[in-house]
Amino acid sequence: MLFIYENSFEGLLTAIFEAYRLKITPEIAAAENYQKSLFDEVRFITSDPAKAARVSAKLQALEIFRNVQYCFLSSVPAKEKIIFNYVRKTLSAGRNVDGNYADPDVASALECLRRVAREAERLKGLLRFQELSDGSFYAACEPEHCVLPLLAGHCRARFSAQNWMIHDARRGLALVYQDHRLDLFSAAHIQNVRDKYAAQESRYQELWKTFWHAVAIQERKNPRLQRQFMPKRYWKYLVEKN
Amino acid sequence: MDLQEKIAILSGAARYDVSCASCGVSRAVSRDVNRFAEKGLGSTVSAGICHSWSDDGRCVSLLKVLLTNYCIYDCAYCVNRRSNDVPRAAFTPAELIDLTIQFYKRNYIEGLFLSSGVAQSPDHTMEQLIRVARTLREEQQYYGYIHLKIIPGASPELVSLAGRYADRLSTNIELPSAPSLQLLAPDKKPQIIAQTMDTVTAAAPAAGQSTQLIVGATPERDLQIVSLAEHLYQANNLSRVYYSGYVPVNSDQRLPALLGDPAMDAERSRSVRLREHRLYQADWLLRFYKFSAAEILSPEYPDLDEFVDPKTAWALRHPELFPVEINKAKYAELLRIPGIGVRSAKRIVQTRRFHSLDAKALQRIGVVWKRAKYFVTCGGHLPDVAVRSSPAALYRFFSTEQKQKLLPGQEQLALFAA
Repeated sequence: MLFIYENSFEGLLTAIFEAYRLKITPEIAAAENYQKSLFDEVRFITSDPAKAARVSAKLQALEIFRNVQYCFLSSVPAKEKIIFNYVRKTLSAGRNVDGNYADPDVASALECLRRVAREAERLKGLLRFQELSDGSFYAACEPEHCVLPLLAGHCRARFSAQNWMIHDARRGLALVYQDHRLDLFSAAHIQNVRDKYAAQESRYQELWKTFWHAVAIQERKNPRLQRQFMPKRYWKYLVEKN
Repeated sequence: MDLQEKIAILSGAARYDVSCASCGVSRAVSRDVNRFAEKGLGSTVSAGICHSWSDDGRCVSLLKVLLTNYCIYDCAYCVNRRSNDVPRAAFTPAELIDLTIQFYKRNYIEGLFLSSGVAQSPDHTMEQLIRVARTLREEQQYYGYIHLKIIPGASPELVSLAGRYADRLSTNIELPSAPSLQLLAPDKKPQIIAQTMDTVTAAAPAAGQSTQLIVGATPERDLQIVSLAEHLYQANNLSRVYYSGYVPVNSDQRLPALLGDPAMDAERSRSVRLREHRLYQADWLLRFYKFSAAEILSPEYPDLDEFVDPKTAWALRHPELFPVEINKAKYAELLRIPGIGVRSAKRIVQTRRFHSLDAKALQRIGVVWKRAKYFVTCGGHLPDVAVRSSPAALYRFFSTEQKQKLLPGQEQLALFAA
């Protein structure tokens, strides 16, 4: 049996609810990733807030709600299977079993969330804001996982007195902080921001590049180590690498 | 002189300062997530954040600059020494404050690391550094990270003032022994550095005090260096000791001369880097693995092994303690097994509550199995009896593996991240 859920987190929780109600172990896939196949027996799951709330209450009681949310943000293929196995393992134990790293279901879920958390941590450092002529700051990125929600609290605490936007160009999402309000929008069309630069923006970019080149010890060049910490896929939006 | 030139000179002059850590303190403009600060910029997170990595693979977290590279001292190893004919520059406080704020707003940096050549006198220089930090905090409402260098000999009042505005202070001990310091830095007095470090210990802010020393420019053995680090951690409660493998920037008869032959110079540079790496590993053993300096090295073994990491070298000298039974060993014993780090040791203790562990489980936990398997049993079972012949054979086996990894193309394994 294959469950197709509407792309939201609520949809996935509803699918988990349905699996338990019907006492089956389905394959689960998001509608956006579903490719029609002749052989699967398919059921479309309509998101149901009440059912999702019951699952989420249970996950909270078992202290795995946050972990499941993180896994949901990942782009790991078949994350639904990882989540379902992890939830089932915890539910059948009747308690939190996160300490059991040797269990394959627990280990895959923790590994999955660790990848998401690690990319969020990385971007906290690698985001580069550009000042626009209206005084706001704009940063673009193309993260592997959907980490914008995980950057919100950090950036709000840090840049609370300026308006800013973080644009996930890969997913067409934008996290916008304006007049002390934080919102997540879909943002398919953000054009070239270079035309909207503040007058001083290019100057500070040049100063940063000068600094960045000057701190490197030339006798100790080590591009492999640099790429290990700062993989090439992030370079596109790094001022110092362009 | 324009700002581009200044930043090139004054960050270039600071590049040999090793520390770039932005960790150890957690602070936000407003901790209340529902209340937004109208003013103010910045926060700190206790794990620190790296914002970039430079071409040498080192983390760039802070705007690391000198206020000025004019210096009244003439230390043999220092690129900014008085007798060097290098371009000199000085930031005005306003320039530096603007750079910090503008870089910070663009998320280039986690904060400011401000050091300086000694202009006029230690107190005069210290006052200038403090002025920048104070203006950032009080006038700009800047809450990001600030690391200030303390100039040895600065008055205690200035040191404690610096501790009020900075998150971390550091005083460089420069060299591993007093005779070496007297030889290479005759203007700096060992007693004064020690006194200043004690003053800083008393005034240290949340993220504490760090120091750095140059290795490979003077004849000290690793035993002396690791023992010094242990002493500093205990007596001065330091957060970090940084080791800086000597990079020849000056020719001076008191320093190891360049060999002239590029191949030989490259080889020496490789071995200095490897030594630095091994010292950091030994430092980790002191700070996170509860080793003492006397366990890591002894008069019989005064230097760290080039081809085997210090923990493995220790284990091979103590065959009587191995193999360790994974399912019974205490946390402290697990920590001492080669191939098991702090995280895997903690996970082993947690996971054992659920069931006993075998080789597969250990690998899933994240143990470096190809190393650990020679030192453990799982439920009484020896995982790899075949190769477990003798410590000498294991030493040959591990060191050959390392040599193959290190010698061709020789990439650096630095541990600058933290």
